[in-house]
Amino acid sequence: MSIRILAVDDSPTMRGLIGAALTPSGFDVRFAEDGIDGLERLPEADPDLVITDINMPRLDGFGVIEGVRSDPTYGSLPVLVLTTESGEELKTRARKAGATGWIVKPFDDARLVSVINRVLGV
Amino acid sequence: MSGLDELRISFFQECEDLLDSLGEGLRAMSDLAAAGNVDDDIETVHAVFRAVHSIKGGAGAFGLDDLVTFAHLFETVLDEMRGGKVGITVDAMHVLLRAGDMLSDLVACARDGVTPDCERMGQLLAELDALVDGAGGGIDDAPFEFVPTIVSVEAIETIDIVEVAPETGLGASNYSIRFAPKGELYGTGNEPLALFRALQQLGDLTVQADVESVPLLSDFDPSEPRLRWTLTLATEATREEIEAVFEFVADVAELGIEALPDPGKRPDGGDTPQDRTHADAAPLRDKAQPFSGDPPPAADIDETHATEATSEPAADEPQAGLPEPARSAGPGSPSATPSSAAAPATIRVNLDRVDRLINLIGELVIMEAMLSQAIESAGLASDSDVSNGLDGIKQLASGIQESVMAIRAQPLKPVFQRMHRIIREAADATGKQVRLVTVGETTEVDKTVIERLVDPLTHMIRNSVDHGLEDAAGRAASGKPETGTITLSAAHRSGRVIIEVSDDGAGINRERVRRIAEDKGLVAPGTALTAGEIDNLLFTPGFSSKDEVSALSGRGVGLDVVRREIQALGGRVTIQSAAGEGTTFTIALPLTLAVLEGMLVEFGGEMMVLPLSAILETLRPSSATIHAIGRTGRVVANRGELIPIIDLADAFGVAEPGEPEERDVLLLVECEAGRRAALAVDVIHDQRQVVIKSLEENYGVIPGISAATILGDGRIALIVDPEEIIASAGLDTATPQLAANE
Amino acid sequence: MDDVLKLPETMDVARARTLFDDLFRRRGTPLTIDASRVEKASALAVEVMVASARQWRSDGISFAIAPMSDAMLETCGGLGLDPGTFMPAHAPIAKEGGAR
Repeated sequence: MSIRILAVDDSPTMRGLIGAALTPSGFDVRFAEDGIDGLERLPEADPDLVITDINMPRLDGFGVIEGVRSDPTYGSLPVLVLTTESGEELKTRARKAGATGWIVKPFDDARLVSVINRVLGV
Repeated sequence: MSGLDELRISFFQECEDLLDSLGEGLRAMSDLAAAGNVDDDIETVHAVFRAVHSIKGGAGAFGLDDLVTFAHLFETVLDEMRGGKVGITVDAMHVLLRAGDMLSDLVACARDGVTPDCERMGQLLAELDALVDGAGGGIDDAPFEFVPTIVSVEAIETIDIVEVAPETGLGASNYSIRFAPKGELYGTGNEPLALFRALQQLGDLTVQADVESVPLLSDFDPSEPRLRWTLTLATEATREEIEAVFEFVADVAELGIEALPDPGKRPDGGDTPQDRTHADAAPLRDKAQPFSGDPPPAADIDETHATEATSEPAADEPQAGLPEPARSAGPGSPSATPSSAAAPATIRVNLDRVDRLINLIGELVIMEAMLSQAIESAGLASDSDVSNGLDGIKQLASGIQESVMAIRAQPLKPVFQRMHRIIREAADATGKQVRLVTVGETTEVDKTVIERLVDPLTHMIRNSVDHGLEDAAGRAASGKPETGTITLSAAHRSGRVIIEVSDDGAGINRERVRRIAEDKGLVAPGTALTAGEIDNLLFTPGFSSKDEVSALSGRGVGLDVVRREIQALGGRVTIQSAAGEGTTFTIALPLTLAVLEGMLVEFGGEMMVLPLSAILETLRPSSATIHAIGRTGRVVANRGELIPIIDLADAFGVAEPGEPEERDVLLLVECEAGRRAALAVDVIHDQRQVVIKSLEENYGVIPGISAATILGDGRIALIVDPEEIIASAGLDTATPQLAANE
Repeated sequence: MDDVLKLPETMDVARARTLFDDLFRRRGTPLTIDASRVEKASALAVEVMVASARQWRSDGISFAIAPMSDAMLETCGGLGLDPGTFMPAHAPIAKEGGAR
């Protein structure tokens, strides 16, 4: 059974890039269009890992992390933050919210795959 | 690679939307800045920031460096604004609005592979930079060196970064890694086991758990885990690669990485081996090791390395990522189940497919008419089941037709949004203060119509700024606010789309217009003209004059071109003006190019359709107003003009022999050059919308005929092209003026 | 008969905390933890079991984690834990749990 990823990003382009990076490696990627959508899709996507953008309408990436962490079923899911910002401040905020790790855009496909594998221990 | 090409295309489509919301947001900010209450809507600033940010994100993925550079500084300013460090002032918004235009241009340049205007970009970068500097914020990369790069398709291909093979030839080294998670680690979704497995990808790993450091349950606190590990890794990987594994946990665990001097020897190797009876239960290739009775105290942990593990290069440098083994450990095989993406709310459909559907509906109408005929011939009652069923089909068919038309319909918003920029540039060029008000942006029009509206609207807007509005002094003199207003509105009205461009300027100076027209010989001096007729002179070819050329109208486009473009869309443009109050241009357009509003006429036993947009009026003149010219020619006198009559039956060669009467129902039409003609027919049936079916595709070009349609009874009716009829009738000379002829 | 605590499939961080509470309450009574259903276990849950094994051993009361699912055994192995290290010597692992 392939590993399921829920990718939360408001940009169709980024969603496409994430899909193009992960699908060839056998990941089953589901998508959500913003933070609220992402949290709502959790049960249906039942992911092994969540990738989320930070800057999104309605609910940002920090909100996604906090939402996942407070979920009784998905509280321990790894959540990777995907962002163009590489500043320490952002990492600190993401970490405080409970982020597992971060990937700086633009990412290269191999690195995204390797980071996911590392976090999942596969 | 084609997948990425598609993504690139979709990125630029996304950019269009983002630029729209960017423009909208910036204008809202600008309005608030002018009103002095920017704090009211910080969400707008967030939205604008997100738009720029998303463009930057995608641009980075496709290696569009100019775009990234520009968007980055733009975004920095916006970030400072939402953080309250840079004020949202009128001046600042002036810079941001132009930065928005620049960003839009950079997107277009990147898309088309064109080199952007570096000078302008450098200038705007400096202005944006000044905003940040002015706030005392200062950014690290202050002096911007802008180096243009030509974006090419190859740029995309660089996305596939070649994986760097792990350093080889150094031989295996042994590392001792001490790892002690803090309580926070377990709140971040990180798991020690996952990290250990990642280390295992680098080489031979031995895991030793220090169980003795775990207190008895009575003293245990789950939020302060005490279990710690000593790992021994025999690997060819560098220290950086090992540190990269711990990239995400450096702040939530204590970590020490130490190179062991002798690769052959493991630390603690000889210490107190314990019972290994059950070691075969361990699935890893390294058996569980006995743990030392004397655990290394936390103070032993090398803090220096712990810090290094968080350092940027390891975190962000792609090459520093995990080497090959980590990737080959990817789950499943490449042929594993494809991703099941969430169903999008919209789909993109090739227009050809929609058009094919429209054609099929035309066929359906024919079949329906034939069936109807057959039912009648069979003598079935009109309330029979068959007839009722047919009625149902008719209703469904018309429902389908409407739905298909709706597929092609799109809101006018993108076109209207573009006009803000036109206004801005026109205002800058003329030194006038102008604001644009848009109404009815959500009004939907056929996609093709929308695309072809941009040019005429652009010109009309420029014309309104240039000629419609007075300058600030002039406005002040007539008691108007210094800032002129141009209103662009759209609405559906009786099956058509009405678009109005109105200004609150001085109105048309009819005396001046008449003088210019007379000077240019467009109208005979002294001709009696109504106000409306004078206004319409603006649309006459050759009216726009060189001495009126300003910074804007130097483009050599007159309103006659606007009218031609609108007519080509099956629309009409009219003008209303009131002295001192302003001028309004009204464009009436069909909802779709696939449907034409036409007049169904009959001549020589043929039914044909004349586009309503070409018809000025219909006449049934008295014989006194018709004059014979030459042997066969006739003209009709109408409102001071002698208009040549063209008998359509003659023109198409369908006149029935021996027809005594001259056809006396006339349709007055006008073609692009302003020439008029009266088309003679037998009967005008009615006015209706007809579905256009192209003949050229299946049949070829027929002179005087633009297309065909299928009537309700299944008959084919040809659609007349008045333009060609007039041209082929050889009426080359301009319509003679009655005043000049008499 | 010993009290038996049956662990659910997922022993994530949140479950590790409830496991702590469950075990804390059962101190002083012989206990068997049934880990046969566990599919996923956080190291924190394993650590709670380590602390418990030490507690029960120190109290001289019988404590066993058996049977164990393959996933549980793999987790222990991967974390460098011999299942024996949190099992008192007198409570050998049930053979069916260790069979592979």
